[in-house]
Amino acid sequence: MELYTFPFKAMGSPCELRLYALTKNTAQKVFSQAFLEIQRLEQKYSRYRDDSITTAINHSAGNKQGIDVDDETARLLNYAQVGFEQSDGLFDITSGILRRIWDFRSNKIPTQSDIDSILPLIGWQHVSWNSSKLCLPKKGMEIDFGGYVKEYAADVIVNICRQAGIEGGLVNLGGDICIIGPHPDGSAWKVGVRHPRNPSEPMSFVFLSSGGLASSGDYERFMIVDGIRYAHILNPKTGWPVASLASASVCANQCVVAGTSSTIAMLKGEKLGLRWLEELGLPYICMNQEKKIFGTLRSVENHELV
Amino acid sequence: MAKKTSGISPALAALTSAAMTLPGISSTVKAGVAANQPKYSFQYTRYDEDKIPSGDAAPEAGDRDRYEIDVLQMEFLYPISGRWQLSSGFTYDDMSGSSPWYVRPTNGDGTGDPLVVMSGATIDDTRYDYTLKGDYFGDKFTISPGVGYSTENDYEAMYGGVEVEYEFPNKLTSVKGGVSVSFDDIEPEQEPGIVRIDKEDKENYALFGSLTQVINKYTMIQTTLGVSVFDGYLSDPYKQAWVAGVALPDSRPDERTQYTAATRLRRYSELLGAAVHVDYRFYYDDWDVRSHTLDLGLYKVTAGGWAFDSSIRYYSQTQADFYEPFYRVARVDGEYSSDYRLSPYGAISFRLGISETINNWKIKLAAERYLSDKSYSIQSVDVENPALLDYTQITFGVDYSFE
Repeated sequence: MELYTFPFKAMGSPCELRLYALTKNTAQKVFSQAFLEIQRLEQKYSRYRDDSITTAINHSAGNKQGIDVDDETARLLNYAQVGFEQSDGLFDITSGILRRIWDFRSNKIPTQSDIDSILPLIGWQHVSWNSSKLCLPKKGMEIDFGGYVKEYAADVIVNICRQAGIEGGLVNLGGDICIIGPHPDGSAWKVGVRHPRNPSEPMSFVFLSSGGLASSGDYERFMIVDGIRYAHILNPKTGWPVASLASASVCANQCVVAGTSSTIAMLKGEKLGLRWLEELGLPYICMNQEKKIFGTLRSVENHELV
Repeated sequence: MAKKTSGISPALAALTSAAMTLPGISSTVKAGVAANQPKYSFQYTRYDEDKIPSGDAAPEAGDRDRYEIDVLQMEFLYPISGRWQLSSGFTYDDMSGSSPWYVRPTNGDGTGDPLVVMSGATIDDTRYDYTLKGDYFGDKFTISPGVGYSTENDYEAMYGGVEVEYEFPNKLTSVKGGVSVSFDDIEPEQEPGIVRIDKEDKENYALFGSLTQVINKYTMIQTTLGVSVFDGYLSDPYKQAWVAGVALPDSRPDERTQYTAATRLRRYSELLGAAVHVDYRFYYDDWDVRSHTLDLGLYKVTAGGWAFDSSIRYYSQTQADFYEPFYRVARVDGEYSSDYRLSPYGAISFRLGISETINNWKIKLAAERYLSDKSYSIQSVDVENPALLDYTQITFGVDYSFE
């Protein structure tokens, strides 16, 4: 059994697939299957492509008839609805349009009137969704699957690899990790958790033989204006960045659940975010702005998810 | 910080349940997707009934060895398109041995324990069974029609049916219903000196409905209700009943309606790292046979791809209203059967299976031991049928999926 590593780029991030296989030929075959699947999901849910379902949905905004969506999209929307409900409205796939006014490369803070003009277009509670038909009631409303489709893709890839007979391996989509299975000797993968202030140095290591690890942090896109750090963690209710944890990393059986849980923790802010993670009972590690580390993954060696 | 509570948090349960419905994540939900690749399955089963104990057999009983059956099964699953798949099956049975013929009292005056008399000649028979089944995976419905034909020296059956499954958009609930019919003809081998029917037939119409609910990522429950109606010759032409010193042909009512209610519970236990199966089935028919079946099982998959399943099954039934081990006096309705399958008894069986998947191959091995006895019955049984069955079954199977 040999380890084969396939680096590639997808969904705007550096990615990697590591597979244990008997032959290079087998590994390559499985990789091409996985890569095709990522491309499919990227094309289908990209908000930049004219032929994506995201664009079709967003073009339908304001049309009272709504739009019929396919089964996979329907299930992703169901998932978004559950995330919205469980986070008291903080995980909201209609909040992506805040990006129109928050340009983190401009070093300019939008005015409150800019924000007020866009807030009425945000809110999953305004959307009518009945498991096959989606209606965005106001023209200009948008949805964005970017908040969880990458983690979903990691889960899907893991399943594809397992169905192709791969028993050991790992998927890394831009830092979101999902485990196919442990090393052939049964030992867990040692996975680094990124340090939010020093991305080249891991702040911790996690040992995983199944499940996923996803991180969310204020380091991905941010600007510092008048000494204040404004990160892309935007509260959909206020339209303002959340003064929050520097990063939250969560392990769960499904990478998509890990990702949603870490995103919600960031959106809730330090105090409520840590409480949320404690209540979920999932293994996690967080760092706050004072570089203090919290969580059950801090010193875990040989951690294994059931 | 909040104290970590035991049990799963409602928020995590909600997110996980929603994640498990995403296509491509849930590897357990197979419904709704046609197979990608053809698959070939082969299975061999050796079924061996224990010899009748000498104390239960009459001195003239004949050969106390019971049935030995070799079963070869083959199935070929072929995807036609993304929506259709076809599977065709072939089964070949080769059976030999003796079977219980009738039961008589120890003494000619109708007193004493019942003793079984076996069929004189060893029966050799072969059965061929062909099935063809299709599955159509629609957006919301899965429709599965199927037909089959079975033939042996003295028996011929044709059957067909259709099942429809609807999965609710939440992917957590599905309902399924099905109807089936079968038409059977029997033309028993004749033996000099024994009165047997020349040719008879029977029909069967069956209907079932089931509801499956995924409660959370750990738990699934399924409830099934079914009714099945038989009409025609429902007796066994090779059996007789001892009636006041005379052996009369086995003669049962020509209609039978059966009702079943079953619940299956599947729960994954993190503690055991295995899925626990609890199945219960209640059966009732208008011959007054009632039965309870309880099946407890454990299914575990190891990291190396080995799968183990073990189960223990308990069964208990009451007798048919016209059944007697033997009849001291004739019945007004002329219905007689001393078939052990209509007698009151209980049974326990143990099953152990193991399988391993290696690349395109899946290899399976399973063994079952079945024991029946009057003392296993829920109700107390006065007189045990001496022909109650014990058997051992060993199965070896191979699946090959084409790339």
